[in-house]
Amino acid sequence: MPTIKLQSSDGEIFDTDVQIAKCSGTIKTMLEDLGMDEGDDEVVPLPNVNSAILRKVLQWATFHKDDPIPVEDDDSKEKRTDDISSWDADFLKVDQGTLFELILAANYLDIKGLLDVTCKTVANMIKGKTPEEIRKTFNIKNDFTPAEEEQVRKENEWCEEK
Amino acid sequence: MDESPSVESVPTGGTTTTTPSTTTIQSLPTEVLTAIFHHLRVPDLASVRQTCRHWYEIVISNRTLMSRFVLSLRNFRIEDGCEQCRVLGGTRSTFEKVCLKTCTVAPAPVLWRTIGTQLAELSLSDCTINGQTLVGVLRCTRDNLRSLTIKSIKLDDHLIYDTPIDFRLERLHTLTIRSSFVYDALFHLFKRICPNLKAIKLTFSSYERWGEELVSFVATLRATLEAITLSYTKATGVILQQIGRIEQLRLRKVSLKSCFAIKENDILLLARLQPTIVHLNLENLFSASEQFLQALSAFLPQMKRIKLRVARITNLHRSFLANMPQLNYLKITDATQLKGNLDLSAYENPALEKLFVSAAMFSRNTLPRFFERCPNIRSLTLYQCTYENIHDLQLAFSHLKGLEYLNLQRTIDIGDSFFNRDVFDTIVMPFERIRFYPIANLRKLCYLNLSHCRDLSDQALMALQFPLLKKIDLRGLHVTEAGIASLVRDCPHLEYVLVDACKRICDQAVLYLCRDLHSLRLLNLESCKAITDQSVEHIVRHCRSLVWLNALNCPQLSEEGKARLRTVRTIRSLHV
Repeated sequence: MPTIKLQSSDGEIFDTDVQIAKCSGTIKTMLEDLGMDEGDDEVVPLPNVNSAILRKVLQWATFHKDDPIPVEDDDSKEKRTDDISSWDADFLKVDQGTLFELILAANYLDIKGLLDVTCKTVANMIKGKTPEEIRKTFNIKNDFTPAEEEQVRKENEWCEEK
Repeated sequence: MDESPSVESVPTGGTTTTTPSTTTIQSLPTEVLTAIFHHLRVPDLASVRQTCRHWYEIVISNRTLMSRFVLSLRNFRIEDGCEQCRVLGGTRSTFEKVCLKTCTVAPAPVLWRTIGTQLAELSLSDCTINGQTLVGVLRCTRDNLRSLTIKSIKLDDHLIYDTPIDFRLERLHTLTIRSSFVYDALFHLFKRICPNLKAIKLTFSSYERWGEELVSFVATLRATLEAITLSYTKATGVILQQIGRIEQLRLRKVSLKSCFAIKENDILLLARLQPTIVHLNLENLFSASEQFLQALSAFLPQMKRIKLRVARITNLHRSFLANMPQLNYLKITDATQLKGNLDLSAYENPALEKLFVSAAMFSRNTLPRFFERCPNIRSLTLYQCTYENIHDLQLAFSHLKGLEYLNLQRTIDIGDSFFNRDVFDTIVMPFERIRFYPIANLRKLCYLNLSHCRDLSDQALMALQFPLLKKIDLRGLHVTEAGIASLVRDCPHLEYVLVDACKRICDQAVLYLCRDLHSLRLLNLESCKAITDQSVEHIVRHCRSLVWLNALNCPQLSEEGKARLRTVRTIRSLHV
């Protein structure tokens, strides 16, 4: 099976099945643009992904290598977040820092499926919480002035769903 | 029970080891945060934008996210200097939809200048406003308003004639007036400011004399108007004829529900004058005769959607349906007077997506053949129908694998065995050539209404397994907590649950509904006389997205319990 070498930001080299690496839009384009052949011994550098995260990304990609290509959703509708498969849910039982790094990696590597499921996971963490609970969950500083916060709070009080 | 992956405080899973990471949610780029927020509904989006400045900016600068918000002002006096004006006058949010309900609206130019420019939909419901103020409000919305709804408005008409008009709502395409008396002056105003309307919807309303001002309004819109609704008005044959005769008018959709003055000949004349009509609603008008249907279908063979009452018809197919090959939605109400039974089996139409039949009797063996020939039905309502052989209905479902909406309200012929595959499979099928899939295999079903099917009990609920089901109506059934427990397990995505008038629903059943349905948005417990303040506790404790709750006529709820319900943050509509 043809493989390529992916190099993480901290220098670790991952020998990866080409088909799996190509679930990343970024790597796919790179291979095509640079005309890298599968037999070449060249190394693809991924300066934005460290080895721990790259390992997890590849683990995800290996499991999902036979997934159908996801269809573009309609942005105007609220999307579902309750359709995370149990494998993905288990896979994403990680600390917050790792989760966000996975999101950054999925975004950088352009892996739609992984980005989607990680975003859903974060959305589920937000659902049903008050602003104060959200701040606590994600360690966010409330940087509104009291007047600004009052303005948003009032507006929100008068808002409904369409 | 909670399967949603909770990330807080869970150590790194799997085989990978990671060095503790300091990446926070604030390191995510804006486009990723936007993608996350797209998964949220308004109550959560509201919390999100109240979290910090950065998130506030992301939400308010994204049109798709903001278009989910409706600014809804209820029971206020809107005037210069009021709290709403002060707060909203300084807002940076753009609201596309604004709804005023039971407000007294006085001039408030600052408010309307701020929120008016981006406004696409405006609804004034039970508001008191004078003509001049109304004109002033509309003037501020002239750039973007697409849809205007006025419901039970109290207007001082004399001022409208005198108000100078120096603007037009060029983009307004839908005007809805409901439960109002429309003075000539108001039509006169709209005639001047709405040049490009596509739809006029006038319902539960009245107008002066026989409606000459309405006709003249329609005449000015002849180039753009496509749809007119006059349901529940005093509309007569005269007004239909006058509208029909307007030159260059090309109507596509006409709705005349419950306009009792209109007769068969009025409709035929309209159909002859306006052959472009493809949607026609004649519900609750007259019982259409065979001759009428024949003539109508000859005038309007392009018909896509029709709703009507029928009577004295021996063969619905020959007289009518055969001429309408493009029909997409067919609604036949009150078919009790049909001679003999309703037989649709000769009708073959792959375009048919929605079917509604009420009070019909279906002959033996006709339904499966009909559904075999119209296999693309997505929405099916068989309201209070009776069946010579109820197994026909089960067999019919073997053809409707795309069914999303099923309403079998008041079907007395179905019992628990209808849903129970084991029982049904033992019956010798009269149709061996048909592969048989019982109702439980309708995998796409989103809506199910079984209300008042009096023979159904817990056994039926236990057989239901619809993974996509969002809404279920079980009104008046003898179901208990055992059935509900099974329902919430097998249909976990339910959002709307109606169990009103289910006398045996108890606190335990409410607990299952509130605790196990994470997306529960609507709960109707009216006349569930067995529930107590325990249920209130379950609702307060577990419901995170409940928006609508009805607990009227529950005598065991205390005043304190009801007061506690009023404190639930997410509930917008509470009936106790």
